[in-house]
Amino acid sequence: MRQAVMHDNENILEVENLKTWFYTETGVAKSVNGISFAVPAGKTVALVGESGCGKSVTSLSIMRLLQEPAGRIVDGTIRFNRPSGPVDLVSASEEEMEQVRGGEIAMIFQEPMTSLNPVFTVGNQIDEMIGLHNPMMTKTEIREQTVRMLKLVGIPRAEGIYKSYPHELSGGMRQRVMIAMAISCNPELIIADEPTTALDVTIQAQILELMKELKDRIGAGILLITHDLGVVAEMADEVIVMYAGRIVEKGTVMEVLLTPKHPYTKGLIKSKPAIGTVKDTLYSIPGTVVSPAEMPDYCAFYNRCGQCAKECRSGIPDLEPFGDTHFAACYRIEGGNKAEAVTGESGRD
Amino acid sequence: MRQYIIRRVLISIGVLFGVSILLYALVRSMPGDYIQTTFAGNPNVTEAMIQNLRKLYGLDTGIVEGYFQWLGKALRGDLGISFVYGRPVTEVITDKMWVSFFLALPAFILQLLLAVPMGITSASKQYSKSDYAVTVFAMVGISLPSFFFAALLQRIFSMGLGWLPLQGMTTAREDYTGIRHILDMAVHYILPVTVLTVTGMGSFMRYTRTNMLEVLQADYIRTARAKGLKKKTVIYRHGFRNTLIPLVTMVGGMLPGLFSGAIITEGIFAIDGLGYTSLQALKQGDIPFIMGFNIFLAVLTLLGTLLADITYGLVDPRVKLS
Repeated sequence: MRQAVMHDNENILEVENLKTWFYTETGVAKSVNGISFAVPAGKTVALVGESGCGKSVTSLSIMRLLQEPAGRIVDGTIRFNRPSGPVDLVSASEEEMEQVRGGEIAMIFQEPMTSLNPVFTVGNQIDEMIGLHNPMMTKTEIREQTVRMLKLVGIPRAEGIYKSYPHELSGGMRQRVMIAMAISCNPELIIADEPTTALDVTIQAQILELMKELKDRIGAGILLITHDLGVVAEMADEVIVMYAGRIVEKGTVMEVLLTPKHPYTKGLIKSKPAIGTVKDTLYSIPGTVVSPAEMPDYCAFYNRCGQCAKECRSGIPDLEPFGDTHFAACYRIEGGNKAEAVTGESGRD
Repeated sequence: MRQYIIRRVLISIGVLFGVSILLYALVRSMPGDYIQTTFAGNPNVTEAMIQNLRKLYGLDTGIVEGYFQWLGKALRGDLGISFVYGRPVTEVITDKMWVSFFLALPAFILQLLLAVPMGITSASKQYSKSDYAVTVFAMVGISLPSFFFAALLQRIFSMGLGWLPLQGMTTAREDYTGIRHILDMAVHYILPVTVLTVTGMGSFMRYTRTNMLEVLQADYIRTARAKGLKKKTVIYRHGFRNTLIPLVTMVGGMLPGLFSGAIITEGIFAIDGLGYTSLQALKQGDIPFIMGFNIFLAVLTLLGTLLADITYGLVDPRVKLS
């Protein structure tokens, strides 16, 4: 076990300079390329970005569940504050990871329809997890705990559902089961990877409501991965915006949603439908994301950015502070250090 | 469930009628009937005698008439008397069936015991050395003709090393009884069982591997890992239970193979089973035997699929039989 020291003891998770690359036949895909962030204990941090930006890879890296050997963490540390002391998950042994997974970091996946094993009953699958992390508990105790969890997530007739197979439940019910499973061992951190994406809109609202309610009750830190800014506004305390494997902006919800700095964040917010306004077509950011295998050595948003300038091709912008908690990585922001330094060669605005 | 089985059995009976019609038409259309093949070239047998013999063996009727005669008897449980063996067909089949069965059963069990774990290992360690090793072994098994492999084994273990008997089911000249008899037979069965196992398990192993690979990609496997389960537990508990579903269908389809006999292997090792027996019957146009034997296989096939479907419902909770 490699001990680690948390930079801030208030944090449950600290990711520093994480690089997760995929070695494929067509080249190296730098899916996550040097990201750093922290999840404070009991707080909800949203990781936002479009498909393929590295959100899910980040979560799988934390859980160390990447498809090896193609996907590898090539650099960085993931400090997790275990109850028994902080550890670096990147270098932790597989045995240690098995204790952490499920017991201390639980995960809720995007696809409730396929994330439960079809041949085991729902109760059986939650029992398995509780039994695994609580070897002292008897069968009846485990069963009672499972039923209690099912009730907690608002499942009616929990005893009946306990004996049901996943295919007998609706998508919303299954996601409730996944949530019940995730919280069943009182984890310190919950990673929710697009927990509402695959659900109907009405069910989405219910699941969000449930998660908000549980969030306060169980006091676990939540890393919420989503591309839905509505969900972010509802749930999150802090927001991290990712683009092409890097963090382009981070800050509190208020900062990022109300005063976005990065052109990409602005585009994301602009492309969200707003109540009370009538538009023919929704705004969309022009162009497509660069392929992770052909990542440029300058700002990856360059080809889609409306504010790009010559200087944007000079190198990859660093995250610059715009206040105590607000950071963005762009050369073109007023007041950004580098922007000022390079504005000599001015661009189009 | 009961309703389902009853319905399936009724459908099976209909299928059996179809099968028997087709079989009879085909068998009767084969050139050279039993009388012709037996007495051709014998100058002492006149044309009149042949006509008489045809009548005696019931070969003078048309196909339709002959079929209904056969059917009428078959429905009363009488499959007729084998031309070649001169005994009731049912008696010949039940006699030889067990010889083939006790040759096929150990091979079948060995195939399952070896192929399934090998398939799982090679899937869970895809593209590793053990995966390649297993795959090569499977390919060799599939490609190896049984007569060649059998001859090879005989050459090495019987002629060369002298460890095992060359062929036959028991040692001639000895008249063992009880346990010694069984042991003697077991020794004689080692080589043929090996041939059947090695040549048969390849496809089984590949099938397991393919299915396991698919299952291991599933989201619920990732969920199981995220719960903190060990990789082994995930593979054998969560993965294997799902791989079992398609495997069951395949195993059900193998039921007739347990009784039908292995023509080539039985021939090479001079094992007096159904494979060898039916080959003789087929060559000489033994209509009652061919009919009886094939209907027997058809019944087994239908039973096998029914059994597979029922077990399918047991291993996969999503399948409701109704």
